[in-house]
Amino acid sequence: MKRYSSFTLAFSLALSVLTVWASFAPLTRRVAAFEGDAYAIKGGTVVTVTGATIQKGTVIIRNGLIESVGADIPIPGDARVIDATGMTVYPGLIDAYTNIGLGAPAQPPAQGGRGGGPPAPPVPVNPALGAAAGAQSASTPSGQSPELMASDQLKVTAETFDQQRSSGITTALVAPREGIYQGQSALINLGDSEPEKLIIKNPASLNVSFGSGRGFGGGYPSSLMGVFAFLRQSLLDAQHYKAAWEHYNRNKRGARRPETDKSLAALQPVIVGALPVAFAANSEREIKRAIGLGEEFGLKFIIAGGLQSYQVADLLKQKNVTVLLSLNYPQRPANLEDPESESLRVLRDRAAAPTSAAALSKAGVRFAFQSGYLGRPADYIANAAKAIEAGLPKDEAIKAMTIYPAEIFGVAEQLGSIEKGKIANIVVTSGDLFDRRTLVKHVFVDGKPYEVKSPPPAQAGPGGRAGGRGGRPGAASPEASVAGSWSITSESPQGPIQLTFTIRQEGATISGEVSSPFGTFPLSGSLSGNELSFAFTAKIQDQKIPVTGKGSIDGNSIRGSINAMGNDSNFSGTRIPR
Amino acid sequence: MKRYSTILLTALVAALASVALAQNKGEVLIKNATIMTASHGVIEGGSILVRDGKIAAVGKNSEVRAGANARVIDATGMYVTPGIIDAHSHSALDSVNEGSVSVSAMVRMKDVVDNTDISIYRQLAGGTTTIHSMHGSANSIGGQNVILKLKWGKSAEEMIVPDMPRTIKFALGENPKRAGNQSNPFGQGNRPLRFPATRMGVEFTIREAFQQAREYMREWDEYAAAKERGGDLAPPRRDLKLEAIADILRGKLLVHSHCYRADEILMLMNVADEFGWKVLAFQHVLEGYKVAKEMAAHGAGGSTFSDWWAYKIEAYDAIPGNAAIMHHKGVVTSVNSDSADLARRLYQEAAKTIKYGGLTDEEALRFITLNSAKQLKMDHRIGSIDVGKDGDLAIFNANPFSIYARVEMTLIEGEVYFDRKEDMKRRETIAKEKKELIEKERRTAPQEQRQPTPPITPTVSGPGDDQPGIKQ
Amino acid sequence: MNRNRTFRFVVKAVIAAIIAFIVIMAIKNLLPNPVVSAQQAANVFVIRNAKIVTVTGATIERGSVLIRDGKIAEVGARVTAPSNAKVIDATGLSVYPGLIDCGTSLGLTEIGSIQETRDTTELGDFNPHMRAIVAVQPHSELIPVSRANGTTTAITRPGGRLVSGQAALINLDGWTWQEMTVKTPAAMEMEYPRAQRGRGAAFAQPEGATNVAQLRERQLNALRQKLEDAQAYAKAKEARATDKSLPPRPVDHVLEALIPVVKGELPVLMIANAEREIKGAIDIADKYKLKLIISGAADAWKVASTLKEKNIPVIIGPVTDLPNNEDDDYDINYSHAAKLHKAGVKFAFQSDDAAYARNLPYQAGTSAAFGLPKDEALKAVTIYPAQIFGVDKLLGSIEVGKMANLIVTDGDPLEFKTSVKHMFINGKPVDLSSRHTKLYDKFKDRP
Repeated sequence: MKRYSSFTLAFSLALSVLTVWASFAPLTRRVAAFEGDAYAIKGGTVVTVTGATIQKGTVIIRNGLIESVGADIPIPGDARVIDATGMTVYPGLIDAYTNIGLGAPAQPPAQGGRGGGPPAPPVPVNPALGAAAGAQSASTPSGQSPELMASDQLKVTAETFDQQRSSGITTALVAPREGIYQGQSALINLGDSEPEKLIIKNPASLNVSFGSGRGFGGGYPSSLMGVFAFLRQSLLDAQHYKAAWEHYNRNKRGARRPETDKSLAALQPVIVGALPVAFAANSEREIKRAIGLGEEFGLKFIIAGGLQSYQVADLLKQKNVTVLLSLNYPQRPANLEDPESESLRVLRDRAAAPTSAAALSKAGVRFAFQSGYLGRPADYIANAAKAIEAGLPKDEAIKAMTIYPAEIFGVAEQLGSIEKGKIANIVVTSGDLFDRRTLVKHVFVDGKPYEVKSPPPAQAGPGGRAGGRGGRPGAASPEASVAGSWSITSESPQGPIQLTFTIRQEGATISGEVSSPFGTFPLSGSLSGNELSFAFTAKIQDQKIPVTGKGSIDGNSIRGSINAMGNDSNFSGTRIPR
Repeated sequence: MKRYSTILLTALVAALASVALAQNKGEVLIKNATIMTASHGVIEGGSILVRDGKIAAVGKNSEVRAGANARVIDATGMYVTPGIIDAHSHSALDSVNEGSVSVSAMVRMKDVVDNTDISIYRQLAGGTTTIHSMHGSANSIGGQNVILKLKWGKSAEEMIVPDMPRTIKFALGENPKRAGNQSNPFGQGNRPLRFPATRMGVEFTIREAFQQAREYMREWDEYAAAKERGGDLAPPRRDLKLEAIADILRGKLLVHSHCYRADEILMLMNVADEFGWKVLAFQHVLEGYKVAKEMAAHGAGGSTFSDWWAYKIEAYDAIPGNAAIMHHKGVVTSVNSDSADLARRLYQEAAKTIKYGGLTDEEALRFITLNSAKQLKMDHRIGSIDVGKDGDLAIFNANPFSIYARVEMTLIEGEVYFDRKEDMKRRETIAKEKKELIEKERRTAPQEQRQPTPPITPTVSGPGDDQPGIKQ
Repeated sequence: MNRNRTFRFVVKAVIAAIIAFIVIMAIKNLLPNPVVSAQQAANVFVIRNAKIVTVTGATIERGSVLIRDGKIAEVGARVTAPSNAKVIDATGLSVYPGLIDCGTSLGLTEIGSIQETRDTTELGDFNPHMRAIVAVQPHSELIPVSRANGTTTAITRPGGRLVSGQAALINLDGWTWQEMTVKTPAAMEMEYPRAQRGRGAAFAQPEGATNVAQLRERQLNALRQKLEDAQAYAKAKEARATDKSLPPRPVDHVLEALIPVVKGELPVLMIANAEREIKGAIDIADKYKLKLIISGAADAWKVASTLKEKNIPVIIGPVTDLPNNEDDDYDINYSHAAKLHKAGVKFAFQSDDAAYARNLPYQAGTSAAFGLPKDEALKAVTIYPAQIFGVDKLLGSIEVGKMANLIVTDGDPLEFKTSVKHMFINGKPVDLSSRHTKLYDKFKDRP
């Protein structure tokens, strides 16, 4: 017995060594420039952020760090010199919440006492993360796995972060965006090396969204109140897990050991306030709900999103809540036939969203900017400029993209300003960051210079910014990717309908098939940014039933409404992993 | 630990502050009105004084004296009723059904209150001041409901009635068995069937849940007892679903059950008797008239539609005399909306019970005020015009049970939340602001067709759970 | 040989034609005439001592109505009633014309959720040849329930398609649908392709179409094409009638049924709610010279001046529907009738339902609570519907010679507290009990 155990131990040790070796293996094949190279950026206006701005200053970079900064400092003989005369030097910008660089998550098949053919048991198995001590966590449904690590999903090539870097963004907090427990985020530098080398802090937060999880017909929870009950139960279970193990550790002899559960184990740092929870919450009431839940369980939490935080700035201050403020402002929908049909409430929201930053700043709420999954990185800065127009002091805007997020994530010793000893993430621009004519000229990540790529031609179309920022680098990603197979559940008054969309995509045009309980039908449609419009004709008992629909793509999930025979039904679904 | 106490203190301060806010300071005097009290008849030429949100006096004009600073509302020629209470609503919610499981007792509607739902205002404009916003009927045991005052413009927390009685939704009959039913007209798709598929299965689902809750309670009792004896035991797992059902057994969570047919009404009363709890109110209860005697004996209320029928087979025996028969047999009866539409004119729905059941105005009025309050265990606070109750009032231009009546003003706790004259005035400014915002968007982002994003606030369609329009 | 074959062909054709003629005549005889010959009610009735609200003329405070052979024979303070007339003493009661509901699916549907009991929606987008009347179930439980509140006559219509079929005007009493028929077809039921609105939209043939506007345009094109085909078909048919040398053409049932529509003889009852839809419907009516009635018509008040100018009537309801848009005035539908009245648009009410058709009077009454004069509210459920469907010589008021569809009430028929005490349809007294009263009576005294 004992021998067997030590063999197992030895075997797993060997396995992990191999795994680690395997993950570092590419290193040997992918050595680029010497990382210790020194650079001197001289003659520019250096916006240090934490100290005074230095006119005609010099920044020395060596070995990935800022070696020195000042107005009159000697330039080392081995440094490559970059003449930044007339230019402005900023610390690299941080995007405090995004999902860039993450591959599609592995999606376990849906279950929850409902899988397979036979009917579920009379009272379904408890929906929470684990029963007594986590009996069912082995097959926890997607979106309900707090143990998911963004760092495990990072897939980085030389080009992955081109557009971010070319817009001046050098660091990002990345986390998957599907599900309720979206996973644990990682703060990474946007370089081009192995993920392991990019990580600055991991995990940085546990990201939680109130999105109704699995959609109607997809299992528990399928509703917003179900999401809250689910979150509460899982946190209670985590507390119970702690108590059960503590009890066992006190009384090992004679007590039956609790089961282990990776989900509940992953929640342990959360329930003791060691790992912050980032609640994705945009509307006033979502924000309040997040605060309520956070307080109920004594969590350390921050708000990610906060588009409507202009309404609750005082409350956020009073509760001392930090906000990762989205710059993905709501916009007028494309193809809106009848502008009058939009409500005043929605119009006001859209008009007021850019004022949130100023409101938070004025109220003294700690906040950082995040892109909120904006399609074009260049819009990140453009939309920050709108916040400045709406009353946010410019230096606050810069801080909200540099030192504030660094402080929020506890990495202010390493990032967020141009100071000696910090990571050499540097952006050199042709002028003021928020001037729409400004261009990014040079960008350094971890002390390594990267080529600034020009944006693709300013093509008209959704997501494009005509009359935009004079060629500011930044790629248009006009259309979301929708190609693949999607598992869709449509809610209808008569019950849910399960559909599978197989979609082929050519730019903004899509084609494919819909398979349904009634048969398979050709599908056509178009994309406008993240908005998918589609149509197909279902033939049921020789009757042609025209069906149209619209949905918003959000990574690997979609949500929208389907219209058939005059009835609107909501649908939601996820992309089926290949 | 310190962290917790800080949080506790903050919560306490916030709670106190909101209570203080809710107390609308000052006096409001409504005079020269025909007052339909719902509890003690009609007062012609009467006045109502509301002080600090509560009714301070009601009587003949001569009997009611207000202070010099009171806001005076001259209601000459008008009728005043208690604010209307809708005992079955799904308004002001972001989500209605957690239909994925047969028992969803752990979900709470108070987590998903949508204070921006325009239905709130529209219902205020129909004299409705309090709604019982319920979980849907997709499962045998649904979620925990919320009681809201329609304080339009206020936050969700301010709308939720403080110390509201806790109620939970059950559902019997066609709806909870639909997910188990193969003959779903739209097809089942690839979705596995969910138990139950029959009324038999509904009964078993409920019975088993209570059995489990009993065991859960015993487990905790044993733990508490052992701990008392000083043992070091691992605590049992807290289960929010079973805690809720245990609370029903403890009488802390009150049952409102969706139902149609007489058989299922009897069934639930039997299960309740077996486990020692009471059904507070049956909802819809379209065949309540067939078993009104049994309902009265159990002490269950009946909250019904005025005239809905024939939208599904279990509603084929529904009759508009249902409310009257239940009432005459001693059932505390109310008329509800279950729809954002009907909730705007519950006074018309009540009027139909006069027509089809030969009731008096006062009886009909109680169907939408005092009796609804009783079904929510709120009649100590709302439901009639009596001293000490909340100053929730609706002012009509005519007898509310006339087809020609409309609401002129609605007050909650003495504060005017709807005033038809103000509404008419505001229409122009709303139209103007809207036009300006649309124009401004056109100007600032004319040529660029941007990547669309959904509105910040999720919009929710809130059809009634059993709205005939849906043709369930 | 060749000649012989031709001869045989001609003989066969002649025989076929004769058989077809016989069959058509037989069917024709089975079907009712467009305007029914009134049921020959043997009985004579006189309603005495009643307040008589004639609607079109002055109200008689105390008078009598004489009913003979299904018709109103005399009305006045005094009438000469034969001694064998059955007398209804209506002291303290009032007589009104029976109410007319401009849109129901009465007889075509029984239980909403059960497909087998619904006969409103045939397959296909173009169903002008579908006739509602032949599917009316005279013994539907919904009919006695609906009439108990004063409705004697209703439009019952198919729905859910671009061209749904022929609506019928029926009396809510009769042993058979033939006996119930007042006029059929009363109108061609159509639905304007819906604009993007809060409510559900319906589209046909969307292959390849990618947005709402495109889909609507496709469907509109299909509709226009069909109307043009019908025009051409009608023209060719007339030509063939006068010029026998023209080759025959097989009957196209769809186009055949559209002939009275494109000739402007049969009104089109077009569901159109949004402003865009109403304007579109008017454009189509102008272009193809259709006799248009707008149904649903939520935004009709926005198009009121055009509707008035073109003399297009509007059927609204239920006015108790929720407003379509969040920012709409809370009473936008309640006050719609008042706005149309003020603008001089001809309008009438519908229940737009079957199980809830009994609430028709409250459509009118609620509109009166929000600004519509009470007498106009009453007209919009009596004489205006009769005018809109071209039966004002027959129905809609208490006038000598009209069909005796009457109600005797204890008050204003639009009021909740009012009860209908007697009802005459086609001159016959009608039972006012229903499934509801029977169940009520059975269980109210349950021991």
